[in-house]
Amino acid sequence: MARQVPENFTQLLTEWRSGQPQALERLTPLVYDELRRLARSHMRAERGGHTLQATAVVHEAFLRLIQTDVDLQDRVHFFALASRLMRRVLVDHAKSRSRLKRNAGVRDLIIEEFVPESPTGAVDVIALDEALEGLQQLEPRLAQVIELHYFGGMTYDEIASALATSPSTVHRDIRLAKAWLLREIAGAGS
Amino acid sequence: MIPRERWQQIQSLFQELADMDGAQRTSHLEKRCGGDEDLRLSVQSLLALDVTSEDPLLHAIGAAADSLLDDHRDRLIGTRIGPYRVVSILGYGGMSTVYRGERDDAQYHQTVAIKVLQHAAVHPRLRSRLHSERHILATLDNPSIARLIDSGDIEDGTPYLVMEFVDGDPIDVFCDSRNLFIRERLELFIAVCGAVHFAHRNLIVHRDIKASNIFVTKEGAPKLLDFGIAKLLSPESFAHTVPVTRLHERILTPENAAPEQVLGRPITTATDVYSLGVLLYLLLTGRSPYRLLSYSQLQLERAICVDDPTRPSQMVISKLQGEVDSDLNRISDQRGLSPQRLRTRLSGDLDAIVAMAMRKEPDRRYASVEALADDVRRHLAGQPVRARQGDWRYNTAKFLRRNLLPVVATAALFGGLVLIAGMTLWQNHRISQARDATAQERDRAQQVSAFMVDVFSRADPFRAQGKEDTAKDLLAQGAEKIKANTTLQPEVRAQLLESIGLADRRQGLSEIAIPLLEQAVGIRREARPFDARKLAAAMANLAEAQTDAGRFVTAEKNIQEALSYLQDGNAPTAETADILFQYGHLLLLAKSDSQRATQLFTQALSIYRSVPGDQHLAIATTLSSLAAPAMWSGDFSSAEKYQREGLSLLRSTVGHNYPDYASVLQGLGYILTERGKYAEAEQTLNEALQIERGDFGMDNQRIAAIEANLGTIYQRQGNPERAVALTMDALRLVATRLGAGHYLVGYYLDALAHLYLVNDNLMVAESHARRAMLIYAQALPARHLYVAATRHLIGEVLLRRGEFAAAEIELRTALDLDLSLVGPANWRAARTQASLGWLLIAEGREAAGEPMLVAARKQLLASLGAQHPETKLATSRLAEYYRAHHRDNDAVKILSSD
Repeated sequence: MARQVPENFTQLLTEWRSGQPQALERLTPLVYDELRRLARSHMRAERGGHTLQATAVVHEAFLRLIQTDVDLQDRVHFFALASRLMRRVLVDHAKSRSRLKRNAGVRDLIIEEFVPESPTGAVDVIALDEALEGLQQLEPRLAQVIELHYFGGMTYDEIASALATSPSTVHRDIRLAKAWLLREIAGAGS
Repeated sequence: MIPRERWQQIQSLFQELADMDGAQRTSHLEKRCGGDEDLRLSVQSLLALDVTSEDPLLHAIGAAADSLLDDHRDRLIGTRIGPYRVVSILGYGGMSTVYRGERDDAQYHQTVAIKVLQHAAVHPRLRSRLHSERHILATLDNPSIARLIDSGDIEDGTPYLVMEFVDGDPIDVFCDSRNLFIRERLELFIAVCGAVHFAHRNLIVHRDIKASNIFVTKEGAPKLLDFGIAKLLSPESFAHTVPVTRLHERILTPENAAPEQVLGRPITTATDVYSLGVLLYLLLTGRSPYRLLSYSQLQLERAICVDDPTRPSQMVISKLQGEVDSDLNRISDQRGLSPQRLRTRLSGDLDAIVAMAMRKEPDRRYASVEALADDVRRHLAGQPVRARQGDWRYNTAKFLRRNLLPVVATAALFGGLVLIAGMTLWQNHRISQARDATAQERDRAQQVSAFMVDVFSRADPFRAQGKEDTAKDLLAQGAEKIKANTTLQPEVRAQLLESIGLADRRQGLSEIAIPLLEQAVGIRREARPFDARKLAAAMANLAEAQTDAGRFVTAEKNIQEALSYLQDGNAPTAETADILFQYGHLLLLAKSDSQRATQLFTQALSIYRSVPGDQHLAIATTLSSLAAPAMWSGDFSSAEKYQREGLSLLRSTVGHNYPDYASVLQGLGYILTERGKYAEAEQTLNEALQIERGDFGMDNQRIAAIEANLGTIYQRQGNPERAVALTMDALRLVATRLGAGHYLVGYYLDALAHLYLVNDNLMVAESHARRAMLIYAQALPARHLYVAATRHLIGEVLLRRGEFAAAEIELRTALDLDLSLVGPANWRAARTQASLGWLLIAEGREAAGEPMLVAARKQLLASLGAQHPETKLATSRLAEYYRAHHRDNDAVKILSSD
């Protein structure tokens, strides 16, 4: 039945972080529900604008989950966790989709509908996830910035204050990291 | 795995080269890599992928989120909901999915749209409300509104609504796919307004008007979907879940949300007016109003409450992040124009109409949807639109280019005026300035803006504008934050200090503003490269605050220094004129130096007339300012001429509801009162009062000035009770707003004392006048016309009481001030001399008294006319003297000669 925003989301997140894998099982449907509730119409509204809104939707999902009285320091911590969580949820979902897809014959029609209409050079989230693992090994800071920005929907300013650096540094980091990831992804595909 | 050192080489090279252009890059890269071809290729390949126009990563995540969301949507297809078979998905929104349903039974065939609400989104207690209110919605019978047919729950308890199926396209798609001209779009928009108006008359507010909720059939008829649905979904009745309420409100498409929705304020028909403004914006420009900057959700909400949107005419020539010229061409092509032509088409009326519909404060928007539609109709008919007549905020934003000098200092002389513009306006001004600036400046402006937004979004911006406590607290917090933040760049810090100081000053907190502005000046002095203009502007700001605080000596020093920085041999600019203008007012206020003030105003006027750009407001304001020194030196007819010139310029450019217009009216009213033209004066002042009350609310200083002025008129027309009541009210307003120690409090105490004096209540008159003197002693320099006036008043009280020696001291001091400040050929000096002459006669020193009284009366007659109370008083005293000396013929002569 109807459910209010769960009180224990932050708690679950902390449990997950401290190494209790079962917390993820309980977290995933929460994130999933929140995302589902959000306006998807934004994301499709216009071709150019859609991706911009995607992060907004992600950001929004967390804002809705977060308890309103969490203080700023916790919020930063929380967003870091939440970004990680969002990455997991999206990647896991994409993986299960692609397994389904490989199982020829299973509801082909519907699955086709979900395959993103790829503009040239499109990246899928699984490849992004793998490349991000590589970046994590090479330069953890860059990987974190990417995660916060893209999966957590945090702005440069917010990231800068979370990591005690300047927005312009964040901007430069993201440019480099993005170029690196794109190169890795292209390399892996070819 | 790349070795650590190699990675660091790559990293630092990338960052070094990232901002260079192509050729520079290549040569630098060659140089830096030496022969290390591997390194060169690596960095080069990364740089090649550093594209800003598109973001494949965002796309990947967007697509993944899309796919996740899609997953559960199709589960209802093929099932039955009520009597309908679910055939396909028509669309989805934030809280629901809409399916196409078909009913095939013995009676008839029917296609419907079934809106299935997100399971979790609906609170159980809402469900009952939903079911009860659907009956109301079902009564909305209008061809332009999609009808609600039925509602119920599906098996798992999820509510659904069955609605009329509309075969057509969303209105924006309809317009763009048919390349409709602006006129056609406006006509369609008027039809939409008609439907919304119909609903409003039935007391139903839509609350979620947006393009995707308005379909247009192939025949071109608009149909509104989802009327009143949003209200059913808003759990506003549960006060204890306020944060949740807000979150639910947020689900509404935030780009279309009105400030009151973001803030969880009451939703009224004005909310629909706002959303229609957003819709009009979209139809005209192809974009949502707040899309130019890349906002996060939270920033977007703040922007909705704080920033003014980019004007439509500006939007159509601005590229969003990553856009190219062809994107702009596409938008204008769809409207049958070039981008520049489209810009011209939208600027003026349509900009103003959209701005008025989208005002932050619900009660300042169009009063109804019908009024909005009317204005669009007027525009189409080529008639003047209402939005441009009353839109002073819009014009003010433009005018604030003058680096935030007081928009009108004129009225400061008549009773004090400080334009309290919202912070919003200032900020918006800064950002729009920044659009034309370098990237670095823009970055700074955004830092400043972000900081301010951060400070101001803490409180409800609507309250902050109206209630000093809140605004004062916020400003104090802002100042603290600047102090605490040690990482701010000097330029940013200076700007922040200036803006907070300015806001403080506008709130009448000049003592708080001064140290902040001093710091800003200090930073500007040290700045390298040194920017003389910025320093001059900062000093002028500081001087303004010092003037407000009555620190005239330092203010003058700062203004002079500011002017010296601007004398760089180049042709003077409007900024220079602004400071000259400010200086003129300072000289009037601090030194009562009408001669130099006149020179400075004249100089400013000729600069304004010579520099390019739209200077109407500045010219009008300066003309009106010239009236003040003219009046002080007794030249009422010139003063009246200046005010009328200023007034007609304002009338022909910015229209009636502009605050300056009201101020100039007030100035004219004052002059007319002094010239004895009471009927016209009263009418003029009432017009000013109406504008002030309509636009600024009850509580402001300009209202005080007008009221006191009206008080004078009523007194002279024999209504002393009303006169006293109005003046008391003025006094109360000023004391509340500016504090009990402000010189204007003294000014109105003096006015009040004067009323008591002419009504022969000497005791009360003296007490008020002496209180005024106490205030002046702190707030004004000793040599000031206001001081002279009050001393004269006290002298009169003493004279009438028979305390001749004490009276003589007061009157001689006043006369001395009058003569040195404005000279002998002046009604002020004459008034004092008339009192002094009468005193001498009363004391028996008739040889000295009589000629003095005769000469003074002659001057008063020339300056103020026979009907002025001061002239009449002198005349009646002289007549009494003649009668006492049996010169009845002389008495009759002066009494009958007008």
